[in-house]
Amino acid sequence: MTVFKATLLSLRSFSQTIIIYFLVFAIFAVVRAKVSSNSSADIYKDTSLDVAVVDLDKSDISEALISYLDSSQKITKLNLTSEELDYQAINDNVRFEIYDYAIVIPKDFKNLLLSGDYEDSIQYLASANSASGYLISQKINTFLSDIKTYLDCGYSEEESINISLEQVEKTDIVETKIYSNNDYKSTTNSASISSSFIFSAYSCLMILTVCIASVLGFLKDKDSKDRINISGKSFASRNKELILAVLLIGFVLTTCFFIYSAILGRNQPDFHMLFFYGINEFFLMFLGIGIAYFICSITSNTNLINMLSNMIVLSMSFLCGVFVPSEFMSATVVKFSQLLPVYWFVDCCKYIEHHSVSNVFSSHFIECLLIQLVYAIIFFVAGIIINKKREQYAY
Amino acid sequence: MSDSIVKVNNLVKRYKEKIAVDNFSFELKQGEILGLLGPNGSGKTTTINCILSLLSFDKGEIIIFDKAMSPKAYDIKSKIGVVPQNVAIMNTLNVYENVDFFCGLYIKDKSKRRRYVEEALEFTGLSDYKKYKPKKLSGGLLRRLNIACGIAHKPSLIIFDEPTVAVDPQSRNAILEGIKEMNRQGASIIYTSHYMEEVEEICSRIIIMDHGKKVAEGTSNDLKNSLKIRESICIGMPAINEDILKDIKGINHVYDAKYNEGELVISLDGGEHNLVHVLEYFSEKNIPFGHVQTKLPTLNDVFLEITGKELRD
Amino acid sequence: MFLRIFFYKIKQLIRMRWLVGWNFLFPLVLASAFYLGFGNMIKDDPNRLDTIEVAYVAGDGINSNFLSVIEELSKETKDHGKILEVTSFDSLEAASDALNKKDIEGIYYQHDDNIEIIVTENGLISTSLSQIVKSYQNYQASFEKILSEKPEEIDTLIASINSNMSFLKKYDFKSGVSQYMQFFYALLAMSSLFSSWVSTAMMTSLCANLSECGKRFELAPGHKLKAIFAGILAGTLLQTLSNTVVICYVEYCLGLHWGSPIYMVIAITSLASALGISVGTLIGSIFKNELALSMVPLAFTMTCSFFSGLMMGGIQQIIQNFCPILNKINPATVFTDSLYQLACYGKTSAYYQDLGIMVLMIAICLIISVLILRRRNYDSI
Repeated sequence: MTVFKATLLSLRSFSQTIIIYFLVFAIFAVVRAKVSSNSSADIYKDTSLDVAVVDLDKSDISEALISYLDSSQKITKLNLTSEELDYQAINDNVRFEIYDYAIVIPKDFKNLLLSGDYEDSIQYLASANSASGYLISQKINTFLSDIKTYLDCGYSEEESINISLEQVEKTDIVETKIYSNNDYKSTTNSASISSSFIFSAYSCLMILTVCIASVLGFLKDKDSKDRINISGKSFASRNKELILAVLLIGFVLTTCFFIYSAILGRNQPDFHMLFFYGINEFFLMFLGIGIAYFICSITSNTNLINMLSNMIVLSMSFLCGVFVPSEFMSATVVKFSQLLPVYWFVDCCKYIEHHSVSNVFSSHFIECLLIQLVYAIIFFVAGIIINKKREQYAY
Repeated sequence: MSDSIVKVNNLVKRYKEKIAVDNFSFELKQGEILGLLGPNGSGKTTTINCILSLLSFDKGEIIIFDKAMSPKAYDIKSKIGVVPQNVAIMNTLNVYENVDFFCGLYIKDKSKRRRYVEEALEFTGLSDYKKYKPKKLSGGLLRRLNIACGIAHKPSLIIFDEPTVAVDPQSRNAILEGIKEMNRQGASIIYTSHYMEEVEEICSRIIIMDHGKKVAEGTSNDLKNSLKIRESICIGMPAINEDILKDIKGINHVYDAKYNEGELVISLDGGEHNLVHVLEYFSEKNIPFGHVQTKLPTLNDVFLEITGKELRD
Repeated sequence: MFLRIFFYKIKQLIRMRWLVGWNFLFPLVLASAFYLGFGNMIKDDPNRLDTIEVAYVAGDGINSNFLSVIEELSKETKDHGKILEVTSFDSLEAASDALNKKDIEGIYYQHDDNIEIIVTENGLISTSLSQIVKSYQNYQASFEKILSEKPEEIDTLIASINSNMSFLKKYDFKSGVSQYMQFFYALLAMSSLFSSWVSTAMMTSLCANLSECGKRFELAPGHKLKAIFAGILAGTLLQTLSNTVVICYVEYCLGLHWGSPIYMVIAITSLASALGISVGTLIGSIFKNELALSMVPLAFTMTCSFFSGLMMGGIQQIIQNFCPILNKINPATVFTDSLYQLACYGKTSAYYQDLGIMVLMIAICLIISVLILRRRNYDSI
């Protein structure tokens, strides 16, 4: 098993590469898991937004407003004075979606409200013309309008606040239903285990392509290859060992990703579907090996391998919804990305997420797996053809 | 200014516990081709790297052109040319550009440099390959390019570190002829190799190294004359008896005689026309013999006698 | 000699095909992938409040008050754009069918004096539809309360409701740059830091412990540092050219505006290129293993780029909130932040600080490299 052993030993040079890409995945998967989202469900629930509040007034009216918002949104109170107030810092947090919305209640807001000079007194920051901006603005305007109205109609301050709070509590109840149909939803709940597996596509493919292509590249070195060819080992035996070694490398690397994703998602509601995610991940492994073979047929220069791997895998990952959900892409791009194999991996993950053990094993599931396998074979065959052509031209 | 171009005194270089160069001293005189001969791992390249200040050394003194050598001794460096063991050229530049680039590190004058580059290419037979990239050149041509890059600036001291490794005989001969020509033009040369035939052919003086030490020094003839055995005669013959062997050992200048597997080997420690005396004896005794071969001692024999092993072990 | 080596280094670097591919082609390919992937989001902000197409089904009779509210919201006024697009359906089944086909996004179903909302999924759209009903119910409750307790104040109530005064004013930085341009800033950062490969390749041919060519170079007379700086300049120029191509491609071919004048973006990116080259010079001074010389720049670049938001937008803001010092020592984040500051807020103190940090990083890398390379004596090569 000389070729087998040599192939495995060649992998030692890439231990740093493996560690780096795996670490990147490990860190980002954890960060992504902490960023919660709440998109698909069967029961209606109001979207709760992250709202930052700077209360410079600290009056009973401003506190009532904050209390009202706190009942339905995730409020972060920023304890800042007027001197410490930095609109740019708040704006940065809003732009980068740390907060969805931020309001700054000015120092004399209560007096402005009572005097009637309250127009445009509260400053807010939200993404330009955003739906979240509209929503919170509506809530704030409605609540404060109530207080103002009751004050104008002769109620006392305390009464106006209490009535408004009770009123919004009562009127906040609206009967809302989710209309269900039988198609699985294309959106992914990023709190699900599938988001870990989707995100692993990039790192897993990168490690597989770079390592396997480089290892195969070592063995393609002319002198080594000639030396191996004139040895006593038969062609079939050599290639059998090589294939075995490559499969073992792929299996071990993919298993690491599988185990880590499983550990990350052990508390998720769809953890029981782990087996199916695993099958999907291992079919991705074949795709990675196919791409690796294709790349190493073009070049055995480590730098070029890195370059081609990054170009192919990173671009595919962006286009197929690994980093940015495909719901945000144009229809044309989504259609185009269906020609790419990673799309089917991502689609399979989403499919598994929205199905149970009893109904996941369907034609669509098998289709996704087989498409990945077919692409792996296509890449492999393309690699063989390129190798043959290169050998032809070499002679 | 003295006659001495390079003076190395008691050079010691250690790599952790291993002593690569062990109190090595030598001198290169003006106009000499000094051969540094030794097996792989004897310390030749390490010595050269220390002389060139590429490597730090633990003890010793290196004087070149009557000045102490150091990494910042630019005036000394400008007169030194090096042809390293491994081909040291830029793969992205063509032949002309490579020679021009490295020559330009020594010669600032543009017109002078252009002339020197052309001459170097002419000298090494690369004029027809100016636009070729290194990967298009054969091994022999690459070696020539390696030489051209090292000698283009017409240095007074040239160091060749095993320049003919993996080179075909034709290119090898061309390289050796080129070295002799450079010496005729005034360059002093240090030539390191583990091929004794090359060293014998071109070097005026030879130092034999082993395990970082100098084991012998002198001209080729001096070294061979220092051997006990000055000549070996090999004669193919059928079995001979002890009496004949005893008689042969009694011939003048015969140092030793051994018979093994159809071949009689007679070692002689001097004298002239020894073969005639031996053949006369066989003729007298009517002893039949087959092939006859006379072998004069080689540097390998010198090395073998001193160290107990072959030069190419 | 400086100029000679400079021009030769340019020649040498241009002829390294893999380097040219990496530094010129890869950013263009990635920019195109980004554009295909979320060019949509840059041009049409997905969080933008688009008109919501909603059905109204008067199950057991039309609620004229609610209908007038939603019809009002269907008009574009000076206070708000067109928030709803209302279509009346005769039956709930017809409306549900339209919802299923995604012709509409929600249904207001009027029945039993109630307004029921039917949507396909949770989200901002469904919450917005719900909020409209809540606001309506709220005003209704106000009317009922005042009518019952203080009927004499009904005119005050109507005046108050009709006043339409908003309590809120947007604090607008007037930045027309989409937040998703941050990915392109991170792409430029990655491209600039990849120039560390340019300088490690350059250093390989100049250092005796890295190549045979380096040995020959170190044997030659003349200051090595001059040659190294010539190489650094060549590398910086080449990388700046490469980045300029990417910047112009994104601005003019893809039609995405960087948010700042293009010459300023090029100038700042040149600084980032110099930073990448300096880092590569430092790496070339420290490491002598061939694999390390290709892996360390890659690891460094990808790690810094990841934490500047290349894969996950907003990561740098999370780091800013928890450990801001990390952002200040990550060259990719410093660079993206400088572009971001310039695009969103103009030439602020934070912008100048970022430029200063980049210059400082360049100086530190070069000084350490000089200290290592100057009078370097090899123990073994």
